[in-house]
Amino acid sequence: MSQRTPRELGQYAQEWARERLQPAALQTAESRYGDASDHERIRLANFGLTTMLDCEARVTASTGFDGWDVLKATRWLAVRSLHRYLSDDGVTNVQRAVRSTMANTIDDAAPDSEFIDGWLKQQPPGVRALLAARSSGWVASLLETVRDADLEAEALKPPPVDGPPMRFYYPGRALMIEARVDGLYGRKNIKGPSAETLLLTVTAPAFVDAILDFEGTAATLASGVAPGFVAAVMPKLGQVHKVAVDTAMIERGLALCERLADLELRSIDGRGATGVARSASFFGCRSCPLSETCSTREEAEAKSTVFGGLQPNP
Amino acid sequence: MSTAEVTLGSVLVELDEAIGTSAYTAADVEDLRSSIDQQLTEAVDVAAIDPSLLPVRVPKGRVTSVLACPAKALADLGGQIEPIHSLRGAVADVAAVVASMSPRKPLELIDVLEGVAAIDPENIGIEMWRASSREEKAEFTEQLTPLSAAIQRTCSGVSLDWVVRPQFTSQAAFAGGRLLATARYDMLLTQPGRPRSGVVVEVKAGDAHSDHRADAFLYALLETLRTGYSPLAIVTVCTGDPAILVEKVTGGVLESAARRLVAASRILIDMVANPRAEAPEQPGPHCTVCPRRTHCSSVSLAVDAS
Ligand code: SF4
Ligand code: SF4
Repeated sequence: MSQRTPRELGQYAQEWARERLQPAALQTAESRYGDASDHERIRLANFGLTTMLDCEARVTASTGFDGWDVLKATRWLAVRSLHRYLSDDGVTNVQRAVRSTMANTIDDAAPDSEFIDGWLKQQPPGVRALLAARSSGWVASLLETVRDADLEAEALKPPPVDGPPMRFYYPGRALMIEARVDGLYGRKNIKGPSAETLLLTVTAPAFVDAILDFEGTAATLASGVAPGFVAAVMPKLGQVHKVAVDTAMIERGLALCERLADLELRSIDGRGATGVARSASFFGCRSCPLSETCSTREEAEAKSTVFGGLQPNP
Repeated sequence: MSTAEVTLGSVLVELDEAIGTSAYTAADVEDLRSSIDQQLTEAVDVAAIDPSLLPVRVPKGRVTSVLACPAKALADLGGQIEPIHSLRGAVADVAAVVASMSPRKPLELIDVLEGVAAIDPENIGIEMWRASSREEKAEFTEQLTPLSAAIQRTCSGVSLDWVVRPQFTSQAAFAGGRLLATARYDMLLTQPGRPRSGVVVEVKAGDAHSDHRADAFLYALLETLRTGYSPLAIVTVCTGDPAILVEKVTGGVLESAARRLVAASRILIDMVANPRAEAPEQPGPHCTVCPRRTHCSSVSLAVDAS
């Protein structure tokens, strides 16, 4: 098969997404995504994907967005602070970039804690200080991991935070796929998505290949033009894993979307977790709505895996 | 500078001139990595472990505990940490982080506790705090306020050029991913614009003891393997005197940590491969705090008597 150009790849991805996701899309509301209620629409995005990779059954019990917390707010603040730090008129100190981003957000805050600005404003000083520390740390991790992986730090570009989110809306149905981009990498004098690498911070290295397949596909669907590469920045390991966006990746990415769409649908059409694969993990089970009645969790807890299932000496 | 004036900020100023240096060259780091990898690959190959039990996990705490006594390490697994100890640890950690961010003034204990609750809502200490009566809260406040204030004082004076990463996890995979060594540093400080500026900070809600030095060596090793160069120093912040201990990272530190990591990993590999075998007993000063000390046949009589 001859190589597709980035634009051809974008078209191919969108056509194929319409076909492959049709069975799932037809079960959502016949309306724009934004006009449908939570029980009639599905959103395929990073959180659902990593949940699925950890335990498929947990996706079927997901309750959707349940408000802001330190974890979600850290990334939100960090990506905007990175933008400020890398922008030409930006602040050239990571801590100051985070502080000014936080201060501006709070200054413009609406009173409603449903939105991040209002939520931030309501936080006590200790929580805000920790958020600032975590966000600065997140930014520093990305910058240093890229540099230490011998990629040129100068080629880092601000993440897209001002424009609309990177989303693909299934035509006429309430199904949406959202891409996550934490940074862009590419020579400043070469323009266009195909010359760019999309960067994302990955904290679960075990799932890195699937995450890149999904995000590369989602970004291609959203813009209609494939980026050159997607790269996972993994601070825990001090590594950057970069892969080309090509036809094979789009096919793998769409298979993940298809599976995730089915699991998300189960949480709204009543099929639930019956017959869906389960896989226990310490943090996953701790936050899982199914944990009280889950025999997979019980079995896993019964045999301590900490020392490979050993029992202490008598 | 007198001991009383030493803060994390002043330690970092002293370390500043070493930024950009490393105890090891890139080639040395690769040699060290491949030497560890070779030894652990061999050990995992020989052990023929049931694949469902892989990877063998070697977190930092387990290196120390199995090298002391494997049987105690296993027995300790079932133990629960006291809620007040958990709360003291969490208060110290959060106090250190917020103070390293150079706030205009130190935070009150209640703000530190709000921070703990936000990042670790299931902390058993926080649950205890929530459930406590007014009188109990007053008692805890009396206990925890000096701790929070002391740690904040010690971690003050850090320039905004430094970025603190709280609870940073570092991971090194060996034997093709069949063995994972991990460590979670209380704080990792770096200057993002300056390569080779890493400083690992460990926070203790009490005095530092001899194990901390061995722990510090292991942090140095894992940070070196993660980044490809050694951190400038491992700093322990505690409530003892002195309140700050600085361990500079040398080639000797890294090699000693590598030997400990390999030795502990071998014991763990063996334990995972032979789940029915009784874990070896290794008496020593740790017998005094071992849950098996009342019936263990190897319990050190000398220590027992003391
Ligand atoms: S409790 Fe654990 S194993 Fe069971 S469904 Fe939830 S995450 Fe999966
Ligand atoms: S009593 Fe001493 S020798 Fe026996 S298991 Fe405990 S620490 Fe090991």
